[in-house]
Amino acid sequence: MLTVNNVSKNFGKDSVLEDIQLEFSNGVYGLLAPNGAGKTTLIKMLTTLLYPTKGEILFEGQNIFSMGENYRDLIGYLPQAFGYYKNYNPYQYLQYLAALKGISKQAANNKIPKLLKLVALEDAIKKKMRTFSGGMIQRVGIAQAMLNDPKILILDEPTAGLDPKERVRFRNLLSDLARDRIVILSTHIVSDVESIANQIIMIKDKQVLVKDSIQAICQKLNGKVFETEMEFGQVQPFREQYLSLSERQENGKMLIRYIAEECSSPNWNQVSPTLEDVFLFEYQDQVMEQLK
Amino acid sequence: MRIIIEEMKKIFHPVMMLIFVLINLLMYYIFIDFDVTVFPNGRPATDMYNIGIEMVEKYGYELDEDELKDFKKVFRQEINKADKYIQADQEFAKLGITNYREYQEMRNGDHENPAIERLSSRIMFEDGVDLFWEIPERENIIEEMEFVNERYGYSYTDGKLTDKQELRIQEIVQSGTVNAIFPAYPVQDNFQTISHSIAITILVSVIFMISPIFIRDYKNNMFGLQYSSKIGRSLFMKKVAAGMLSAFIITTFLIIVYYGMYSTNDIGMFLESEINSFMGSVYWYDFTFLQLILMTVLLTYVIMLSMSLLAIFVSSICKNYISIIGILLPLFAVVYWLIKTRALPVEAFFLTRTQWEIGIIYSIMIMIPTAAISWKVKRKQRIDITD
Repeated sequence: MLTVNNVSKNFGKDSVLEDIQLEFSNGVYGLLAPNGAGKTTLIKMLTTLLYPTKGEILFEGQNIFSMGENYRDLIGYLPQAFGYYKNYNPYQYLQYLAALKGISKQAANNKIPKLLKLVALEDAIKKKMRTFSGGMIQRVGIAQAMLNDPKILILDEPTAGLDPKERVRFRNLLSDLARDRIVILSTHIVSDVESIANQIIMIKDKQVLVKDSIQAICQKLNGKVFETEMEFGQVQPFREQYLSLSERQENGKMLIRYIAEECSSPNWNQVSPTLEDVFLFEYQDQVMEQLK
Repeated sequence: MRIIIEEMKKIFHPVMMLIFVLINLLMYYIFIDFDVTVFPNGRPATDMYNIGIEMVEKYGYELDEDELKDFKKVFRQEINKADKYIQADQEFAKLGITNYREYQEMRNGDHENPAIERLSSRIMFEDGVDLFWEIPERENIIEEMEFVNERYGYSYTDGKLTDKQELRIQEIVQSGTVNAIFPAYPVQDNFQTISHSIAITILVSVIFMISPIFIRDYKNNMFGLQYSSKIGRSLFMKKVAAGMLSAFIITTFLIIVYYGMYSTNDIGMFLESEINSFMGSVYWYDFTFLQLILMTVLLTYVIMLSMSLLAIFVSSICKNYISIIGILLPLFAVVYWLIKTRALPVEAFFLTRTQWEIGIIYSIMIMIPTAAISWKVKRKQRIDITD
């Protein structure tokens, strides 16, 4: 079990995370928050790249920083916008990272073709990575994170650059992997975690807002999410009154999904809340800020 | 070791190797080629070199009194030959010159006489008569040996000697080391120039190859993956080790190549000669020419490895190649000046060079990069990896 115990992180005088308390056991955890909320900072602490200003992170009761290489040997990490050498091919690149992970050359030679097959790159094993698309690069990144068969797999925005087909493939892969390990998946894209995460962690105002199953999180908005159709001219005043979650044109009218405390009209249809609804509700200020 | 090898693969990347070869070809043709292909360089350098070989073959590595007598005998025979040459030449007769001494006196005394100048030019440069080149050199050698007590060492020090310098000269003269046969001109001079050029070429090569060691990872956004892998922050030391090992390999390779080329200058017969010779300079140490070369190689290694360590440190603190060049260029200029003026033998061990100054130069050269890297290693263990 991986435990984050009252962890705070400051950069100089700026506080980024405060009193984070989390526990991870086998399964997929979706770390969901808008950009700039501190997801990457938390992940970098879990990978020992950053030291907590306060608190401790424990694996099986031992401080991960004291465990040193014994802990890092257990983790697989895919950073956001991860690095690679453009002149290397996937084989050379994975051999280099295998060396850093303390994997013997022979073991890496056996493992690399299997991993590249897993991410559907077996035909590109000797191609220079500079010729790869964003999706192919991301798949090499996923392969490198799996090189040491990690007990804790930490992925920071892993689906960036993947096309819809690759996203589905990636989610299936993660679901398989999560059976006997901890998978922590940081993202601001709700659909990445909606179908696979056992638990969702949301960070807001530097603290953990919620850590629960998707079902439990969605309960929070039960009875508050509605859909209705209206003329285009009515949309703007409606938006000013209610939090609009999504809007689409249908039958010459606007179908709008929104949040309201209670049903105020017979034309309003109550619908089941989704994780995206909760996300938009919780981060409405940041979302509106980003939309501006 | 596997990580070090992987890091060295990046240093010796084929593209870098290609540029390395081009740099070395350029540096070789600009700085080294001349001193390898044109040795001895013209006259009287060739004559001094030939006389030096003749002396070593005939007398060994030292010239004792009997051998000096023999050398003088040869000198007189040469003058006789020159006399006969002059007597057989009509142009000398027209100017009223009947022997070598008269020719020498007229030449020394009457610089404005165009007829003498034309004649000298003809026999020296057009006909290239060896006798007229060799005799003045032989005469100089005899004078230097005969007046060794009065002259040895003083011409290099403008007569202003410290007690230590005075003692050193006396020590060399009294021990008899001064009798060594070693034609400093042109052998030592050629070695001095070529050792500078070789050191500077290696310095450029090593800095070029080693400097990208950290910046390459930074530019490629590799730090996150590297320092979160099992090796963690210890990777920094592994990279330093890979950089230093690479610098050692590059230095060794280039020393072998360039000193191999230098060996074609045929100086092998002087390797066992003492360098404190009446024919040359005064050094603080009793080295043979071979030992001087080995000391030069050793100090070349020290300079290259210290500069490599400094380049590694600079690479670890810089965010782009421009800032690396901005920091390393002035440092390179300083080391270039040190190599050219004082850091390498021959100059480092000259009597005119105070040895504490050389000690301080090398201490600074070793201590600053070592301290900088030690600081960086300790800091790397403590700081957040945010890049």
